[in-house]
Amino acid sequence: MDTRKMTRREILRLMTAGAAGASVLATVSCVAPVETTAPAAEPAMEGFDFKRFDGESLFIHGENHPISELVAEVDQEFLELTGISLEWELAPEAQARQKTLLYMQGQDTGLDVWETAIPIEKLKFQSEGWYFAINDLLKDPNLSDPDWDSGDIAAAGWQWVTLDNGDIYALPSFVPQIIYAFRRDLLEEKGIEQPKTLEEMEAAADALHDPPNMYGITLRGKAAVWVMWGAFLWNMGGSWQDEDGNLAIATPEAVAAAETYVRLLQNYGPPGSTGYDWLECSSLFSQGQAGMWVDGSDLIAKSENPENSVIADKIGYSLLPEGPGGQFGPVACVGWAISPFSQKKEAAFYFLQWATNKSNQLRAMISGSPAARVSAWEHPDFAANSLVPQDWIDTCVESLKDGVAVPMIPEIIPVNEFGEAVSNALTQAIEGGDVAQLLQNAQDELEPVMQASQS
Amino acid sequence: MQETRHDAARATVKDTNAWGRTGIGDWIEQRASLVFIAPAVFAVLLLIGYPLVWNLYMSLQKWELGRQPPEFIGLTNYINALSAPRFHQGVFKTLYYSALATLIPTTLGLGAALAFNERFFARGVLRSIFALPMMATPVAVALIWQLMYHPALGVFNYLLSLVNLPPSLWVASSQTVIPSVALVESFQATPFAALVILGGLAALPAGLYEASKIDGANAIQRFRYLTLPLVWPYIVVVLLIRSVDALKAFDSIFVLTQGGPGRASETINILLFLQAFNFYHVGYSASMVVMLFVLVVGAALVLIRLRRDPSW
Amino acid sequence: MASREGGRPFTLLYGIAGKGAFWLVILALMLPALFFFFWMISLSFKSQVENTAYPPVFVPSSLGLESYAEVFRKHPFPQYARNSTIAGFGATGIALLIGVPAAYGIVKWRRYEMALLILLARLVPPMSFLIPWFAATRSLGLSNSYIALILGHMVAGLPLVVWIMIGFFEDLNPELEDASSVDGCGPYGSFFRIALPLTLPGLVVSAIMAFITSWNDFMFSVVLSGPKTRTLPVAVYNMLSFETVNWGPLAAATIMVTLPAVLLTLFIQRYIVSGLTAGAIKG
Repeated sequence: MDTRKMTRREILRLMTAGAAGASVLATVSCVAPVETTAPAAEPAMEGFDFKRFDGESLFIHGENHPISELVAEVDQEFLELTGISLEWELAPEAQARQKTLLYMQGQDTGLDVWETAIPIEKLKFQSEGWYFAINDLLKDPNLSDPDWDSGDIAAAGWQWVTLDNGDIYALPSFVPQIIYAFRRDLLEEKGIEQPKTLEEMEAAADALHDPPNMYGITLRGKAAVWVMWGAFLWNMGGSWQDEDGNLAIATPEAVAAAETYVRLLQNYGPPGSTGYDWLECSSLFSQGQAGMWVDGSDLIAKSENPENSVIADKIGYSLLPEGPGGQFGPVACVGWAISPFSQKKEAAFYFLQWATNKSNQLRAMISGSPAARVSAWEHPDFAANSLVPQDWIDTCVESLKDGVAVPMIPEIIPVNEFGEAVSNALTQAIEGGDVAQLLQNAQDELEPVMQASQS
Repeated sequence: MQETRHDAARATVKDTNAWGRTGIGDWIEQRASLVFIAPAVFAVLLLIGYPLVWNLYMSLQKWELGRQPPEFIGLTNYINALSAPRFHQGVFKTLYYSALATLIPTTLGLGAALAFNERFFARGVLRSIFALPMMATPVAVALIWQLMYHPALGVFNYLLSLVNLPPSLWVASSQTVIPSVALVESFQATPFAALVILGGLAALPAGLYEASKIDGANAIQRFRYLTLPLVWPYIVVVLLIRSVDALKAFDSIFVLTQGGPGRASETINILLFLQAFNFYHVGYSASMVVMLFVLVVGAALVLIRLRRDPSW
Repeated sequence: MASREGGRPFTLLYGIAGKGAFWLVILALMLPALFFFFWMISLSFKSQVENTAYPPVFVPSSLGLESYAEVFRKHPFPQYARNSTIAGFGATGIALLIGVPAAYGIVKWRRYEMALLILLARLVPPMSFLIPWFAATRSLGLSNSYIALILGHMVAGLPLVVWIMIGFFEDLNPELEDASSVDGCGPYGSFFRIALPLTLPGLVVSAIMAFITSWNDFMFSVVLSGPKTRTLPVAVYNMLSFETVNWGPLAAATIMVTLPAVLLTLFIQRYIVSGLTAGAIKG
């Protein structure tokens, strides 16, 4: 397989607002739609025929996170609008992805739509031909709902769902980013300024650290630790790959990022951080027993819900504080894709549009899941009904800016093997191992894997 | 048709000569052993044999999940696995976990059986409560333990702090993760072990003890030379069932740790799951399935031999 | 009753440390079960904030059934329960239908090598089934049907049935069997008229064991069940969703899933002893 060799600059460019080069922020704040890579359909002559596939039924497979559950809960609306009934299979991440593979491997005609975890699946599925390009459907005025409004989808979203060859294979629904949350009230109490750099962040963690009632910081230390480490890596001025596409996870920047991460947890983290996934972090932070937390924006937003949390309205937000390499907003994307083996691709395309339409995206936004639509972010109902404060919104929008947005996960085929090996190294480092040596071991272990995937 | 079969069955019972030598009734009569045993054997061969043969075949192929067809590579997958430190670690962790998840319930179960073999107030009710965890849904049990194990918020560390013991990191540390997961399985397996051994104790002839007492044997001697040899077959049954189940264990490890922290609880089962579904190396994973199966069968055979030989 | 004083190995302990020590041992043995189920119930009554509080909240501040209500509101719990029940009865039925005669035949014609073959089913790592079974059920059009689930659970239950029933059939008095053949009963007659009625307890034990095995199964069910046939353990695991886990409803669901299996265990625990050991010791 032909891996793209990406420089940092190219990655950044890829994240920005498509060919026109308009920044995502511009997209967010402009009312007028910005030119995107997506072709807008010509309006149909008569009214759009929603009932074209009346009586059809579709099988939808996805992960049981809120962005899909919210849509599943209102699928009656889709039935009323189009006459198409939906059958859902939502499962936790690991099971859902495992089963997607089984469906694809079996070229299963029963599966119509699945929710694609883009950073994980994109290159593998592309190389296997497991994506179906919807460019023609998007252009077809008989199939494209004129009110769907492709210009309203954030440019970063379009970038994620577009392959190198211009094929669009999914419609984006969810654009989460890694952000930094801190106890605003406690910092104010102690007279500490909001941390602007990684050094200040460490100092603040030190000041807040008062075990066992209060830990300075909580961070993931378990299987998904590699994703959070990536955020530190960007700010340290590194990346997973060098300019030639070679793995670069044992560079001085990578080691510095890991050392910062490990030091924060060893000195100011709760005991047993190597057993912490987002769930454990969330419990600790929501119970008011951690001073700060770096994680997905949607996951952190749950701590603003007074039903789950004793610290609602006490949280401040920013991007991960600046490091020697700058300050970035790692972004990922989830979307709805049509199975290439489906027999009902056109009806499935109706579902894709409905699932990502303005009202469903607004629902997601209100629940605290960063949506792919600009209009959802700007909607007055969002500001009025959401539990998240303006601070959170500003931080998420900031992360999508040109020059700030970076990929949350490397674009390589063996991304799962990469993540597992890096997490293993980091976990051992948190338990007291030699950071540089462990990262070098991971690099040595992964190089043959990378080569095998390219042959 | 229905009626004919019915008649046939009745005829065979009453008078086998009512049907000719080549008749279906005669056949059913003569091949009764086949009629009784064959359906179950056939079902096993079909439902178990097919996946086993599939894995055996795939283990000789280079096959990544995807559209590339499998490619025959002989024993390469086995050689690669056997020379991979990660696989060695997996074998070691599997054996370590299995030893704990076998010996803890058997030992505690033996003790519990001896205690419950006594007569005391409300024995039946108390034994029932003791047995409760045995059949509780394992996934549900593991989820609750996960919360109790939370290193900072969990109730276990709180209880330890009440009696001035240092907190443990449980499943959050590489050092304690395997014993902690084995403890969850032991929680469910100990009542099972106890009930089986209790059955053995109940079958002991009471007169034996009278005789030994007259001989002047003390409690420990009686246990060592009388009780133990007599319940030994029951203990072996427990060891057999426990070790087979522990070697195959997946659910609770997956729910509690997914093999972590790092790879600290990555048993062969977890490793081969990762290899197949996260890393797409299905052929390689199949070779591990086959080796794990051989390990399980080997353990079972050793224990079956042991059953015949009560001496240590 | 003669041996109240002698015969029991703990008699000496009574003498030395007195009843107190013995009851401490009994208490220690009960403690894990008592605490676990207490905690599970306590979780199901507490609010989310109480459930993750530290120091932990032991006694719920209210006995509200909100968590239980939420399970039913947010999940088609009765549907999952129905699926589990159908899979359980189906798997148990087939396992008994083919397993009981097989056990009888194995004992009667001394075909113990066949018993070992059937027991192999218990030794196969469940992981080895996933891909081939998934592929087979999809290509046969059995996915999202109960048949795949039932067959999968049956594979796990069948060895148990055969194992337990062999023990019971071996315990049958051979003279009874001989008498029946003199009476003109063939193998079928003696199986239905003599053997089955006399081994009824064994049938009950093996049926319940097979049912619980199916009820508790996770691995097969994850892969083989579709949205309409999803079973309870899978549904409960799915409640650990992408979001903050709400421990109250999760605990409420685990209680409701576990309850039938636990109650059935109480019912048969006396017989499990004779059931499991009979097959094992003499087989």
